[in-house]
Amino acid sequence: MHNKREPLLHISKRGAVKWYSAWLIRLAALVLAMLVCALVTTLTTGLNPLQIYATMWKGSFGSPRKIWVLSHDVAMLLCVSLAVTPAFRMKFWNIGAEGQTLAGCLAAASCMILLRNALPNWAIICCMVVASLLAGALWGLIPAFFKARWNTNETLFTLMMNYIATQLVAFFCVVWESPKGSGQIGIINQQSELGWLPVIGGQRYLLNILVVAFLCVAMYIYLNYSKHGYEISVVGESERTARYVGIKVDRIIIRTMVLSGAICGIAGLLLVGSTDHTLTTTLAGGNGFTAVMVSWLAKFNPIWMILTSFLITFLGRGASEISKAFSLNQSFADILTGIILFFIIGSEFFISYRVHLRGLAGKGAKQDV
Amino acid sequence: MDPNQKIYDMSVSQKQTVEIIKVLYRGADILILDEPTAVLTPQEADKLFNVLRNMRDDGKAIVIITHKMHEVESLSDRVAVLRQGRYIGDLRTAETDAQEMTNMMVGHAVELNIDRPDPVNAKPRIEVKDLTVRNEDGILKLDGVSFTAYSGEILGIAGISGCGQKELLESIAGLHPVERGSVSYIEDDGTREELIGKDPLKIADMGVVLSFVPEDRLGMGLVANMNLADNMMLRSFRHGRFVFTDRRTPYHVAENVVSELDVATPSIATPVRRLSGGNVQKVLVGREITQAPSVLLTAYAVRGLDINSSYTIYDLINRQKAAGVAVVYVGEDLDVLVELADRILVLCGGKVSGIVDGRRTDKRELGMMMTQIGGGRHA
Repeated sequence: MHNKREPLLHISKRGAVKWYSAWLIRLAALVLAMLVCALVTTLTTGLNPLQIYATMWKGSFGSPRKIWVLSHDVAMLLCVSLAVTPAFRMKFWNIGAEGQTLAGCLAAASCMILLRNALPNWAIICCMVVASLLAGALWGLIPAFFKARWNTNETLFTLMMNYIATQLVAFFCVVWESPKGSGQIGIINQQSELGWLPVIGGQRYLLNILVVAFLCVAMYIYLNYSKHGYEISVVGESERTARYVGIKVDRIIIRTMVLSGAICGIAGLLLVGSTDHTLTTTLAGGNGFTAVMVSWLAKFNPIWMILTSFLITFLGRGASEISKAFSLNQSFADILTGIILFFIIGSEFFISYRVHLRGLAGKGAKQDV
Repeated sequence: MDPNQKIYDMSVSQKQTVEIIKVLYRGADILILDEPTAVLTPQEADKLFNVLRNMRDDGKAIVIITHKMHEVESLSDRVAVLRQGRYIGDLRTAETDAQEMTNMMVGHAVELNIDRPDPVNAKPRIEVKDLTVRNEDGILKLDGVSFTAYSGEILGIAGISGCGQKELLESIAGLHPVERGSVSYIEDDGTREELIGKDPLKIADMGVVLSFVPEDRLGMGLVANMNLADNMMLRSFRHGRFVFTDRRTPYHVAENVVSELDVATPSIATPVRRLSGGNVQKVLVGREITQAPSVLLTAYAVRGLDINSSYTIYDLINRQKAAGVAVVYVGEDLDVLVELADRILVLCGGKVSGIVDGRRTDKRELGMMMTQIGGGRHA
């Protein structure tokens, strides 16, 4: 046969990939991404790319305070990512973590506001914990119930639940506004600090980081070593197999989404009770959506998620730092983040597939373009 | 043929005829058929073969792919043997026999006889009465099916594919909703337990060990993306301590199955989707047998398997029979059924058209019964 009909690029699936070659490909992608970013920076702004990278680094690690803020942001993103992961392992595409978090925020804030004249501080905090867990769980339960009963599309359903949560929060922001007419809640219980979660070791972010660290380890054990975790994996892989061995699929879907929502509720509790002490519609900060990416990039492994949520947070903070330092606008920072993410996600393609170039295809030549 | 008849009104063999007419009409000179007889009765297969012989005499080239030796012998002029994607050789059919072809397929000499020891101490184990089942679309799949399966016996189920075999096994295993009828499990001392209305978990909780090798191995019996040990765990994950799973026992079970059934796998940690069909089936059958069942349901246990693996499976099933298990064997190869099964129940359109003695029947009789109700005698 002649070469005429052979395409220039030929793609084939790889078999098992050794872990180190997978990481080599990922590392190569990161280096390539940095090079492309440097090129784009020099061409469009004339700035020295090394300076840009140094500024990004400083934006995250420049001072102890910045390191604390970075760690806290990583922890909060990780918390929501941990929440969506059990659902994702079950192939239940929960993109409603934003709403589930807001439901938790709303529940915590309402306890702080409504109970402040009725209960002592410790009782308010107990109520906040219970209420935000329940609110998040409820926000997860509703789409799960409909999915289990009538097989509704969970992606649309959870997405719509986000808007309901946002609108509810907007409504209560007006109901509880302070000062009157501002349409905002402001800092809740600023004088009395009622319902404020305790500060550990003088560091206001430490509590959140510790809670999330505990959740991370617990989630890893739950997913990999518990009966529940095994059931989730089986349901995710094949519902028919699950039924065949007597697993009640409906029950697993509902149970897992309640767990998923409840952990989002914890994220809401930590945001309102521990750091922000207020309620706004943007309190969840888009983490509910970013978490989807964090969880996927880590292949649903809670331990790897520490790394991926760090990466995403680092990029975000670095990007806003350079737009400040070089008075570039925020869009430029977004371009850089976009390029880096594109390469990192793209590298997964080269881990699963091999690309053969025409003419080079002989003798297992390896071309990762 | 009636040219105005709709395709959906046709029987499978009529549909196949339409396919062949279509190909001929377009003026094909080469006809390739891949396992054309899987959905046909022996009688229909004979008809098809006559058509094919006529086409051959007309000067057409015909390639037929089949795993049934007698089809090769009765139809072909020459036969090419493949083994694991390699061309082994070709022979004139007139100058060879099933034994030689099989040896070429496997690579070494094999014994082609299936053992059939007499049932020992047979007692009623599963009694099905008036079982009536509809599928999801409300179509009647089983209509008043009644029979008894005995311990220490292999009950073969014959029928054209889609005649209710799948629904029958799934109903017994508690996986299919039942409209009417009963399935009783009878213990050695004669106590009866009703299985209808119970799910697999409840049946297991009653102490009834019911093993089921479903037709869809990777979609129902196993989880394709999980490794061997995790697949073994499907049956045992509830036995772990507290909230945790016990991972050590399934690992040992997997090791045992691999060594005893000679499963070709790179390791215990390999996902089962990467194994070949025969090895997947060995993993599944191995796991089900490890449970030490009292009832073993198998659906098309050797479909897609090479001869060697098939005989391994027959041997495993016979060993279960010897151990006093009531085996229900749904098969499509009638040659195997008449050699392996003690009794054969024939299904036709969801009804029992007869139960015959496996030692005193032949393919002709089964074929007749597969297409018409009540064509046979009762054993």
